[in-house]
Order: sequence, then C-alpha cells, then structure tokens
Amino acid sequence: MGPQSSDLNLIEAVWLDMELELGEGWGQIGDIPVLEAALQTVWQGIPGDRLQGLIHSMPQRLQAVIDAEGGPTAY
Amino acid sequence: MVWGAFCGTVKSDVVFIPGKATLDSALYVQNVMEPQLVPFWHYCCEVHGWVAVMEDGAPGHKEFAKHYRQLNEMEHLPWPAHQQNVKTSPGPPRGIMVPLVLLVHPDPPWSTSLVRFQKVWIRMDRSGPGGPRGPQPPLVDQERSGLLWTMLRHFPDGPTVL
Repeated sequence: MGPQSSDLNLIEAVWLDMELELGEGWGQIGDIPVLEAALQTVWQGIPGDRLQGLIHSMPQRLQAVIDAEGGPTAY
Repeated sequence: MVWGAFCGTVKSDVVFIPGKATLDSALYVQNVMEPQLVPFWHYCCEVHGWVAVMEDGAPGHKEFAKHYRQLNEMEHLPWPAHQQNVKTSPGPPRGIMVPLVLLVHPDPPWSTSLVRFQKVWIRMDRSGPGGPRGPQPPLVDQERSGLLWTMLRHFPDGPTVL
C-alpha cells in the first residue's frame, strides 16, 4: 500500500464509474473507434457533482488510510 | 491505452494512445505530457492559483517522475511554502512552476508524503476530521479543488493494440 494507492487517487473511482457504465463487456469491444467513442461519451457524461463528491471525500480517505496504518481501507 | 485527468469539476480531454498496451516514459511525454497534461495543468493553475498533480503509479509516470520534477523545478518549491507564496502573490503565478508531483514515489517512506499531504489537505478542509483549531486563513472551496488527478489506464482484457 503506497500513497499512489487507489484509496487516495480519486481518479481510480472515476475509472471504476466508467467501467460500470460501459458494462462488463466493455473490454471485449474489438472495434477501436467504437470503444473510443464509448469511452469519450462516458467520460463527458461524468457529472461535476460526482467529482466534487470525490474531492470532499478526501479527508475521510486519508483518515481511513491512517487508521488502517497503511493497510486496506473501505475505499 | 487511455488517459484522463480532472481538477475540481473540470475534466481534461480523454486521450487515446495508439500502440502497444504498455506505455513507457517517452510515449507518456509525447502523447500525454506535452499535448495534454501540461496545457491542462497550466489552465488549472490559472483558475486555482496553484495545482498539485497527483498521478497514479503507472510505469510511464514512475520513470518520468524525475524528469518531470526537474522540468518544473519542483525541488525548489516545497508545497506548503509555495502555497503561501502563491496565496500572497497578487496575480496568477506566471513564471512560477506551481504543480508538484506528490505521492508518486513508490520507494520513499510513503507515510512522510502522506502526512505532508494530509497537513495541507486538512488545512484546506477546516471542517474535516482533525482540522486545525488555531487561526487559519480562510480557504475557499475552489482552492480545495486545486488538485489535478491523473491516471493512465490499461485495457485489462481489451484489444492488445489501441
């Protein structure tokens, strides 16, 4: 567990959102333009509220990592 | 491979990097740093006054971290001191390399970086747990958004060429 862990890098949560939005089969999309268009659409559709919410979660995330002494957290 | 970043509620363009599924530092510079991250970073600095860049541990990031810091004279600008400088400067920090790559090191004691980061962050969030009790300059929400989160993403089970 390091400081670059997903617990503390908010964009990991964004990518997870994108994967969920694209669905389980997204990794199987073989047509590159289709995949790019899908990712582009999902990326553009991420609401600002979601990003603000993640930013506001940061103190809690830090505290969770500290409490876990660097171990896994719920995030 | 795909790259993206956000700062506050502003998102970068999402970048698709053609070629093999692994990205070395040279490709990172060519496809991400120069055309995307640096301009986006500068834009964010104009908006927020200062911006720290938080990258994930992708190989391209790790290998490039040293050059990245040198490029931006980061060794001379520890975050807290610089933050103060920026806050007292009359205008946008033109000519000053603002961002730091923080928390990108896999090797040094990560707790040091974390504690430093936490101190700054909690100061930015006065209502947060363990927030400072003493007099602190007020910080607006916009300033707290002054972190730019960036990550490279492999396609785990996707096409081998993108």
